[in-house]
Amino acid sequence: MYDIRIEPFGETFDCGEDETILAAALRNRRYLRYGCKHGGCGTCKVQVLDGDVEITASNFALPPAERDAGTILVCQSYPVEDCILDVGAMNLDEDEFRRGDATTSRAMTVESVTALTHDIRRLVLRHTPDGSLPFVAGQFVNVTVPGTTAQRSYSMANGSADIDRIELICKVLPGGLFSGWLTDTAAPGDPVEVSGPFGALAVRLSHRDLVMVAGGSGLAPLLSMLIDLSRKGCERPISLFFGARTAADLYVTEEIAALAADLPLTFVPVVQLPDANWAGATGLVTDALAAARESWSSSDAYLCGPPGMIDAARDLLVARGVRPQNVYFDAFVSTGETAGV
Amino acid sequence: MPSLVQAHDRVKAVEWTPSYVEHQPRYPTRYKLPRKTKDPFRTLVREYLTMEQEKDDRQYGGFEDVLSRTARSSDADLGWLEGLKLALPIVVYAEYGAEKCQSMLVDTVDNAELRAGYLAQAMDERRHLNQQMYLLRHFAKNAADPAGFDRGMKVRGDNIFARAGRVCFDNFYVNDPIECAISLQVIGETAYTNPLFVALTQVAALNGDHATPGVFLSIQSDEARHMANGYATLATVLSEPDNLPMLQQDFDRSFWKQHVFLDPLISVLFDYFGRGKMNKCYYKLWEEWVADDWVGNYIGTLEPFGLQVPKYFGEAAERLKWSGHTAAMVAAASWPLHYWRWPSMTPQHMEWMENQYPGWYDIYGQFWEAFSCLEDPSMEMIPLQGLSQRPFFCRTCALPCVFPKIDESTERVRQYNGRNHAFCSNACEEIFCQQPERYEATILWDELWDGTSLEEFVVTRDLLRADGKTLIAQPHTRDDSHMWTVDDVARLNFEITDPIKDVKDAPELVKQPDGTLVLKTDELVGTGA
Repeated sequence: MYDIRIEPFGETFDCGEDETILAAALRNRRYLRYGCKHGGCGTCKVQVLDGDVEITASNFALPPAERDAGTILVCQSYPVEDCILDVGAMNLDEDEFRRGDATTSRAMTVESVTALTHDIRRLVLRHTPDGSLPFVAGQFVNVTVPGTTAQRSYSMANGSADIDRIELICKVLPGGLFSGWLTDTAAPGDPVEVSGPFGALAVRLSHRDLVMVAGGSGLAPLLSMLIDLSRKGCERPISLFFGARTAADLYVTEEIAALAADLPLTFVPVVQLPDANWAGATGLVTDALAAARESWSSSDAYLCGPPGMIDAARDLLVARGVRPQNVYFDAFVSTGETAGV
Repeated sequence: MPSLVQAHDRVKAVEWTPSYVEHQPRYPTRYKLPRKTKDPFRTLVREYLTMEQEKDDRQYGGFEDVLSRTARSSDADLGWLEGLKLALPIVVYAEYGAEKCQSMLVDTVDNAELRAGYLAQAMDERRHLNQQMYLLRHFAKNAADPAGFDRGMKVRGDNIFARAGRVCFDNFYVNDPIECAISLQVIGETAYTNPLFVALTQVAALNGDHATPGVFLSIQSDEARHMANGYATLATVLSEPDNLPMLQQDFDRSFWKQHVFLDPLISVLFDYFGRGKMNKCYYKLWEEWVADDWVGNYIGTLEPFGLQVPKYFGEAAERLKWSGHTAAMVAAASWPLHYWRWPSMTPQHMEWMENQYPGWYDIYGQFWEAFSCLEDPSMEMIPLQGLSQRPFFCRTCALPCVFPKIDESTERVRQYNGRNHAFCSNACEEIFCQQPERYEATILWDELWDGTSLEEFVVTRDLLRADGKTLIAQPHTRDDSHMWTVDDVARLNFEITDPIKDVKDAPELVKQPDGTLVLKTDELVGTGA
């Protein structure tokens, strides 16, 4: 057993050698913010002030520079000696920390499953009398795959004002556990267990413009943000770049066009393999981003999609003037992928 | 013996307001405030003062035992200390305003929890005022060139920039007490004390100044609690939805009035008197601490209750890229009017500026090259004489209308109540139009000294050193062989003038039934004159 001291609260709890620091905190009835629990979301980042930890392979959400500066993900870190951690970046107040894990788990029912493209589904889940699950646009939930104990993380794609339901956009992966249930089994009325909300991705209050970049099913949290921004009467100019392999892989474009009527929104769908009928931007989504403006220095960036797209978009936007700390992202990493990342 | 928590609850239960007499606040507020909220300090005043006493003992002990005996302050960078001559008398006034603000709040806010926090803060503000006065005294006794440290408090009301500082910090205790709390606790202390007391501490240390960091960090250790007071005040106000429209307008106005003075001031201290020793310029720190942390985190948590980014925040961010440089240039050009010296810029410092603010040299480099050529009194010229036209002063913020850049001004002139009024920006004009009676009577620096010769100003304002001849201000920090005297100033034959009185036919502002002003013509507020 090792002692883990948590600053700024000055409290110490014990943690076993084979126990993650997050698991130890929750076992000791203390709360640290967390999300996917597999190193993919970055919600549980903290700073090591003293001591050392062993980090498992799944550490995607931690850029090398942050890792070098002593940041760890507590869901993937096992202590190898006594540690002192600073959780200041989690913006936890003392009451939240001492209250323990108040994350809710809710029974919901399937309302509908709609095919948006050949491999993208919109799953609408309705709340039961068990209670609602308030969230902030950009957050995600963990859905337990029915009939198993496995969980999958999906961002909400609807506005946070919808108190009766959540909408998820799910990519169908061949042979995937959740994908199999979604395509073969799920039917209206089926019960599903959902926990959350998790994640720190949210539109930050700022005077700057917004540039959003989405790839694949990564549009979900950005769509949720746009709906909320529209409801609030946002006046900040927004540019949304949505990349897909072919024109047939684009989805909800009419919904985005409708949002553009109420928002100062420029929508740029980008297709990698255009057919003869495609008249829009082509190439990688980062090509369109580069062609659109020489400087993005007056913008905050929100990215969601595959890790490769996020890395490329982040590098490009930072090179074109976005401050690194104003790039907010949520990587779409399938559970199967994280082990090797 | 009750526990601290029990004792605290008992103190709060006293509620302060006697039942046998109806309390009439001397400073009424327009806001609705619930009587029960959460005490932001969570400590007894008794315990609190014991803690603060210990901080004071350590600090003053350090001054007397170490700094004075080792004469370390005489080794500090001369240019940096000149910046402290400028700043400390202004910041002292802010502390004074802050203490008055707490007294008003204690009288007005009928909420025992909040009042406990305000009372403790009032003690803090008095402590800070004493600490900064002690720092001035320390430098007056120990700095290599103490002239100015001994005079700043006396002459600050007659100085172009310190006078505008007074206009800025008046907002801590003039108008509705809750608006004052927003100006002080939510904006002054939460947005700006980190740049002022933390960033400048680093600059001081890098410039060999070992006295200022001790004082500033001791002060900043209290500011976190003042921020908590501001948050508690805001949260209390927002718990009554009727308050929101009024709050947003007060918030917008208060932000601009703090920004318009504090950003150029801190920027000048940081980027110019800091001598280019930091690895980041003020603008970059502002983006981090004010735009990301203050707006993104602090105000962001209140967004769900309806609070929005201050209306003029984007304009402030845009203006900030150059406003500090413009303020530095104007302050240096008018150097004989001040109670501090202007250090000339080294080539390394200029290179730092260009790296931090790409394009800086093209706009400001030539001025600083020319400035260094006019250091010696034998040149018989000050840069102010080279200006084709003297700038007007803004009726709202009391600063010269030179922002954001001397070649890109947003100045405009209006007529109201038979007088001309200049405004430096859309925001300052809008704020004037919202409450003309609040600003109309402000006597601006150039109105006060119109027709006065530079020589007379320097002599009557006591801007001379102990020999009665040599100016406190100098356009360099070099040795004494090139010091300007009052005779050199007399030879310049320079007169202070108020150019706005000669402006004819400026567009007229007229009063509407609700007391606010609009342009008489169809022109929109915000168009240039």
